[in-house]
Amino acid sequence: MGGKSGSSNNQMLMFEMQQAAEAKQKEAERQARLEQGKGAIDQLFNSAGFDQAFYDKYKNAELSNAEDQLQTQFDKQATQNRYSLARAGLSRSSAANQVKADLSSQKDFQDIGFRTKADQDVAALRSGIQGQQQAAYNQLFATEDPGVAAESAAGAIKSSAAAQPTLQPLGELFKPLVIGSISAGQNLLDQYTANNPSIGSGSRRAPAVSYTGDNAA
Amino acid sequence: MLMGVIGAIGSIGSAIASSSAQASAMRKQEDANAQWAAYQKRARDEANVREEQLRQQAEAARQNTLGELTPDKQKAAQDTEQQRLQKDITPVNLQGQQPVVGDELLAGLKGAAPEVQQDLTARINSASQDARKRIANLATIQSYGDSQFGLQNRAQDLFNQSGQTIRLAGDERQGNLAALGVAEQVEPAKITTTPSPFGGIASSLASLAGKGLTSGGVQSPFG
Repeated sequence: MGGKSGSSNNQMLMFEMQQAAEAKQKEAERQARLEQGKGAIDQLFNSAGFDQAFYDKYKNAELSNAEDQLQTQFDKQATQNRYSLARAGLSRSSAANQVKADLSSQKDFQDIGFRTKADQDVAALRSGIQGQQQAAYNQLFATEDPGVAAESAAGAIKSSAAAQPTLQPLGELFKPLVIGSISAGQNLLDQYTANNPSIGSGSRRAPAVSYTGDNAA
Repeated sequence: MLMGVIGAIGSIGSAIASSSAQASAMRKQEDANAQWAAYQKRARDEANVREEQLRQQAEAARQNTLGELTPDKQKAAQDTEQQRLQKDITPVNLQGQQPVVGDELLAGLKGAAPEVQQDLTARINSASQDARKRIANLATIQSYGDSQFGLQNRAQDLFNQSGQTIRLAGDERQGNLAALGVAEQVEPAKITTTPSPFGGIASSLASLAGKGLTSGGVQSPFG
């Protein structure tokens, strides 16, 4: 009778051991699928597919869009300055040089800002691609483990959307100089110099110029 | 004496009967265990099959999305979207290769010198070239991001589609596992051996036999 009882217990033990072996095997298969899946995702997103040319295309379009507008406004402002200087009789003067230098400086300043912004936007685009990779990981985990909420996959990519550059036409990028006031000051100075030849042209200083200040970039 | 012999025989018989009942109970318990094990195995196998089917559904959806997110496909999608946008946001008067110089622009210039008209045309051409360039740039920028089928929106849509399938399969898988959990709570039937009535009879008969044999031993056969 003892043998019979042992047989019954052995039967139960064998069944439980078989269950444990099956569970172990299933877990091993699951881990292998996870490893394989992660490797495939890494290969997809870390390969040379998303190369520098992919990001440069985006950056160049953004830079071109901004710099074309910058150049257009620069050209218009330069023309405007030329007319204004001519009207003031200052086409060939240190004041004219200052105006031109100032305009060029403003252009460089804006250009640097555009390039910095473009670089940041490319970084955001890279982050967006990495967000896709993370979302792919999350879906892999959710597929292998039904307990993982799949909502996280959608959330991850949405939060890493690429930053969008300003697409609206840029506002006034240059602060025009009030060349009219220069002219008035310059005329007075010229008159004064003419009446006092001892002062000589060497003492002539470029008149102060001022910004309108109202239409800042 | 006779009573003692009868009691002893009855006691032995009762013991045999009781032993037989216990053996029968053990067999029944083994049968019950075997049935339970078979039931558990069947429930587990069925759950495993269902689990694997659902996992494969989720996996197929996941693979499909992943297949659409390869660099080549994303670049191709970006190009396609760029072309669509370029066409879509180009004003009507810029859609031809040559810009249309509207009559209103030439108003008052009908009698102007050809040089003047040519100058106007050249300036308008230049303006339209600038506009086309800006349109191309905007189309490129937008196609990487938030336009209708831009890269970011496209990826989001793909993840949403597979996410829905994965969520549905995940929900069903959890239900499947819960059902298996209930099945696993089922325990094997427990065969309990109640005290055999033969045991009591055997005890009584053994007692009687003892008394009979004892009294028989004291009494002289010779009177």
